[in-house]
Amino acid sequence: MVKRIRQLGRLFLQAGLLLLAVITVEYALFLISPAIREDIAAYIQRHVPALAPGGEPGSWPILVYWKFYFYWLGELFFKGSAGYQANGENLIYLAGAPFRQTLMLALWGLALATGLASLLVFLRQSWPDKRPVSWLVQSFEALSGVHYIIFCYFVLYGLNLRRPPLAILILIIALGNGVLLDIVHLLETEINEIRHTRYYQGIRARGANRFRHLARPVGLCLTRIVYTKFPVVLGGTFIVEFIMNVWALGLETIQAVVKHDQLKLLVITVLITIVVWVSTVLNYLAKWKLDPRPVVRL
Amino acid sequence: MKRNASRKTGLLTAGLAVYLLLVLWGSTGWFPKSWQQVPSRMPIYQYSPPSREHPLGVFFQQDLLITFVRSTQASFVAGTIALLPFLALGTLLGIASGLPAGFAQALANRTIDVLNAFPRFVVLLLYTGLFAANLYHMLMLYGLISAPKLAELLRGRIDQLRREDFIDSCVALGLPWWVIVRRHILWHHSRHLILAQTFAMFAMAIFMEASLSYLNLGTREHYQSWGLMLNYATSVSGLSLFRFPLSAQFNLPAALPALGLLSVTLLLVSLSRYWEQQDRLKMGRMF
Repeated sequence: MVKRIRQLGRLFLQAGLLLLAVITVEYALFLISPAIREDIAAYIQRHVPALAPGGEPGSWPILVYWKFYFYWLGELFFKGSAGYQANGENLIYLAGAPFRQTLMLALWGLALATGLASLLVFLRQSWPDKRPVSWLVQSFEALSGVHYIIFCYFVLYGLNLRRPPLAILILIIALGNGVLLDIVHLLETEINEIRHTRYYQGIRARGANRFRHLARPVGLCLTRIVYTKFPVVLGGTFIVEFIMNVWALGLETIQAVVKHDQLKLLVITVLITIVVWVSTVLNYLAKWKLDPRPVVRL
Repeated sequence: MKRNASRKTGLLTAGLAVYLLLVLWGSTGWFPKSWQQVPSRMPIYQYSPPSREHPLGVFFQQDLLITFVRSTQASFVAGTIALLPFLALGTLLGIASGLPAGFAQALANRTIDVLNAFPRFVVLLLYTGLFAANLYHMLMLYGLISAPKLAELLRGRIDQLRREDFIDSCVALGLPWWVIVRRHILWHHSRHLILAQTFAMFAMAIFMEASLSYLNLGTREHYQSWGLMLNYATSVSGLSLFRFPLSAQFNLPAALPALGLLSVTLLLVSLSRYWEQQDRLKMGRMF
């Protein structure tokens, strides 16, 4: 037990350091652009004058920007302040409702796709020769070829459905539909691989419960598939939010891109990094729980 | 069964031929003069229905058929631009991560992990916001950040083939490792897999180009694309997608690019599936 807790502690420590390293690299990438350095300098002069060395911002040493980075990181993690917009609003609002909305859409979309894909694969594996099953799966696969942009476009401009509860439901369906084909394909390939292992053939020969013995390897595959598809769905939410005009992180990002609001983009980058980090940690934990092999490494 | 398979192959070939012909037509730029002449007084946001001079009508002060054909060519260019970095980096990372444990393998594996972790569309948005890049740069970046998909498949294939007897024979014969990888693994045992991924990537790049141009990010003046056509179609009032296709109220400016996107993507995905199947047949893993 103590060993497990120690392993878990080490895992979280490594993951935390990784998160910090990734955010630092992202900030370094932000600093490459002179336009961004100008924006940050203007922000320092307005909100943190103690860090400004004086003179023209163009002549400031790069160290000033790194000092600001650590100041900003401290404010973000210890005081919950992510910096201020031109209208004085704290950018931490991005971590509230917009972030929740995006996350909710991505998770429900992924859950819908995974559930439906598992059902379709189960039907095809259980009744491989039945024509209605084959038609059902093929029709779902054909429908999944409709990309979420076109799906949302037709719903919005064809059916004119814009009311929030219905629009959100359609967004979830569109997002789930977008990755359904991929998940069905991946899951089927993995299950076919498992079915050709000696372990599975041994179970069949012994007449043991196949579902009980397949649960763990299939669970591992599903975890891996969900983990790899999560960034795809998250990226998809950004564009469908924009098309359907839903106030969430996607709409905020595209507005920040158009207005060249660099600080907002930095905050959004950090939020996405944290989401990706959490999903990575959850993936490792799930693997740790399901995989009989004891090694957990980041 | 065999007849079905040959019919499917024939359909895929015909679809690909039609797409390539449209691309060729767009790149030659040959269009009848009457199609190119558009009344100058026509309002920009007005759609004029099909006529003898303009077979699909006029939209955004341009002949709709000309815009559609040029957008088809733009989709092909977008796919090609994204494909080159995808193949180059994907193969390189795949080979490096399939090498015996060491610094190169660890570096390649970590690179794949990092590239896989970020939502691709979001990375492109952030790149545009920070560096005001144009569409072609973004598509190149998209090709680069999509490379881990090919790399992971190649890593799996190298791991799988490493245990085979013919690899031991090659090593015993004294063949250098790059010859074994290039000729025996990549060419003889992975070319169908690479081809399948090429078509899948092409389809995804076309959709990414349509998404970015729909948002009007990184596009230049006079750029024509299916995404832009969809975007412009939102500004026309009085048209509906739920009308008879030959009626004047049918929203052809939206239906045409949507149909183009759907059919090209379905075609490319089907081609990708076909080559995947060929790969499985070759590897003796047909289920």
